[in-house]
Amino acid sequence: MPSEEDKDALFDAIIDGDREAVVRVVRAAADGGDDLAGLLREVMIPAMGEVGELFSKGEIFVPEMLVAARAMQGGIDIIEPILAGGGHQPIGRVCIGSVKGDLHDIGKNLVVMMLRGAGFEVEDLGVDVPVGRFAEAVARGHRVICLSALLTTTKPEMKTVVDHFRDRPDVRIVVGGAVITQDYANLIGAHGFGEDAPAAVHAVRRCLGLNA
Amino acid sequence: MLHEAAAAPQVRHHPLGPLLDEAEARLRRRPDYARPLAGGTARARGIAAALREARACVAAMARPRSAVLALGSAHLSAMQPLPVPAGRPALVTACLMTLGHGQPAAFDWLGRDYLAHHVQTELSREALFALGRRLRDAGSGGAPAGWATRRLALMAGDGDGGRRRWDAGAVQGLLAAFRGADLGVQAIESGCFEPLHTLLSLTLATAPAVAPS
Repeated sequence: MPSEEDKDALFDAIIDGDREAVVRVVRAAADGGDDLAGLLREVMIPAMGEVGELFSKGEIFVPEMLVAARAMQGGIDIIEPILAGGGHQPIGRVCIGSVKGDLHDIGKNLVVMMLRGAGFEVEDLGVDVPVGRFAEAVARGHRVICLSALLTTTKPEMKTVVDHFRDRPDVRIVVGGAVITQDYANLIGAHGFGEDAPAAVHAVRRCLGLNA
Repeated sequence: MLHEAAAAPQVRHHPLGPLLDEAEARLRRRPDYARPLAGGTARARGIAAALREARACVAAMARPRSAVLALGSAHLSAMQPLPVPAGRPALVTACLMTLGHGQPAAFDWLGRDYLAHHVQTELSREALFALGRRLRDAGSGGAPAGWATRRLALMAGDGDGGRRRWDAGAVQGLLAAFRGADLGVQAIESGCFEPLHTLLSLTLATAPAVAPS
């Protein structure tokens, strides 16, 4: 593992959104043959967790959270191919999309970035995603589906997706978006609800039995 | 007493530069951008770079256009009753405005960078609102001076606890009136516009009440 000083610098660089510093420390760790899985688990993911906490407490805004996520991604881009080559598995695989009829992607994209920052492998299905494409993602091995909707006219499509997987207790569905509430999530039988991007990450972790 | 509909929508192209200047200035004034940008930190550099990328993307892709149409009773019959005062001349105009670029294409243009795409989305929205304000200030509704104007929303009850929601059917019906304008705007079944950065406004202008002599 890198020195404590380097780990602290990496932690701070992610929170500060300093992509160059993140890449520099992670590259040095990779070149030095350090434990990259440990670096990811013990330093980088907790740093993004801190970013999510700061956002949820209103101490940073969305652009700052995204700058941090992009800095984190700079490190992940180095680590991921190396770990994948060694058979390392992500903590979970998630597919996500804005439901059929909804072309808005701003909230969905925040969740993508935060999930990746939390160590998940995320397949972004994009916008206007019909239930069949979520079914195809499940057939590819995904067990958590995140659904986003911004319009009152598209939120019923979430129930269509939830109903489609009603007989698949191994598939968990997390919903969120400007027009979605915990009550609505309960009403349609979703397994989780995220009122913002960090909360969506917590909901996904709970669905997978990980400590939220 | 509704004025007759215009035969065809009036289409205008709008220069993008002034809209982007106004949009970026507004974005930079917002606390979520102003505070981190003021710091001179890596965070500030990252957001400033994303703003540059986003602006370059919108400048390369957007082609702002608008179309204004005075509506007659035939257009309005499918909508909810409009609050047109009896016995007073009234004019209902619809204004369709779009930046013309789609979100998926913009995301690809930005190399699928989520930060830059997020900023592009916000910048585009501000640019679209800037266009809307300019059209409003220019009196695009075509109402005679002195008439009172109010915005109308295409909302309908949805049977979901009686709450009102976006009336997708009315949006599609109204959009059909703009077919001749050829702005490349569609509304899918949900009422969501494609391209996303599109606004459709409905304005009711009413003549002043005449005091009894």
